[in-house]
Amino acid sequence: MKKILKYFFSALIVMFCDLSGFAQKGTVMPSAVRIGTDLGFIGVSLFDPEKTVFEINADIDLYKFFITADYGMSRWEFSRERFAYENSGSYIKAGIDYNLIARDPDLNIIYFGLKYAYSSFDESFNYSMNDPFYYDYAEEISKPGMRAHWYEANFGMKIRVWKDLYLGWAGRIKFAKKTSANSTSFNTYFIPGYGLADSDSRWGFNYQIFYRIPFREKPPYKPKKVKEKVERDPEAQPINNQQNEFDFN
Amino acid sequence: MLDGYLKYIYKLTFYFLICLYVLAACDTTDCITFNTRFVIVDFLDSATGDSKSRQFDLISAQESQVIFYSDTSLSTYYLPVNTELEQSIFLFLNTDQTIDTLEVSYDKTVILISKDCGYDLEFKNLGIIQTTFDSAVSLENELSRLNEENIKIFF
Repeated sequence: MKKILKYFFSALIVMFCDLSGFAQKGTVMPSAVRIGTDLGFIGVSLFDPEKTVFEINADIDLYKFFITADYGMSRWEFSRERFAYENSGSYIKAGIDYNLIARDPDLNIIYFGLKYAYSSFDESFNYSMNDPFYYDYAEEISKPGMRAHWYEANFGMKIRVWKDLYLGWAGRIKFAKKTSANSTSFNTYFIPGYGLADSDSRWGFNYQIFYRIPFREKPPYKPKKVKEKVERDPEAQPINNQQNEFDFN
Repeated sequence: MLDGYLKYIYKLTFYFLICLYVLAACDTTDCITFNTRFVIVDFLDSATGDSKSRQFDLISAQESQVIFYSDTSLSTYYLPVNTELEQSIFLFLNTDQTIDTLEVSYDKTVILISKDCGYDLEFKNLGIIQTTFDSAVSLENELSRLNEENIKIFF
């Protein structure tokens, strides 16, 4: 896990250096916004009567980079013979993704990135105890206004399936979780957007659908080495620019 | 559109991650815990430090209507704490009809293991508040099935 994070952060440093290069040349101009939702959560809400989850996903196309944001709401209630649990809350995630195939003509993306996530939620737990040694009792524990934050390293794809409609999946490792202080005797069980709170890191999988709304053309690719080749061999003609090594800078 | 190498990369990675997700979901929570509500009280000879049986006519606790032990001679007693409160007072009726007390405090945590396993109670930071025994020492401050003793009483 530590090794994965080490390599991931190295890649992120390279990514941010690349972004600063773009910024200096003035080419970081948003060209489209992609808005979507998580299909898996819709399935959970439809088929699991105890759970309701809804998430909106958005990204802004900054050429090789995407500013991403997710907002979600969740409610989970279940009860059994001697206990009942209830959790409701919302979460927001924001970060940046790096597109590994920025040259793709269909604007598909394969990306990796990092997000910061924040969740606020209310939690309550009721239980009854049939005590053979003392006396029977019931206890209700409420934890309103709980908060948690964590980071997510994610990797995924968004593939154009029809016109401006995209399908995507994302695998993510959630780590460095911090939860607000617990003044009750009940251990936090579930954090909206994170999952079960019993582990300091957790991995997740999302299957999403997006609609892309372009508001300007993406800048054309600039062939970088064509000029050098012409200078070296004036008679040589580039056969197909797509075969040359292009640079977006 | 969805064709060429992207189609294969997309399918391959998507199914790979689905498999991983299913495998992770199959990793069900273990319902078994080592938490217990019993304080293990060991009686020792104050001269030698060895375990030594001590006879009581009765052992119970305040707030309890149950007699934990009656007319028993043992060196180790398992005494249940009051799970609603965070302190218990154990009462020991000696053979000469005098009563010794042992008052202990602890922190209780309610842990929801899972929907199917239910909840569990965890007791930590066990300490002796007061006792009428000559000498009592708290050792393991977490109540666990793995413990051999929580409190030593010398007499």
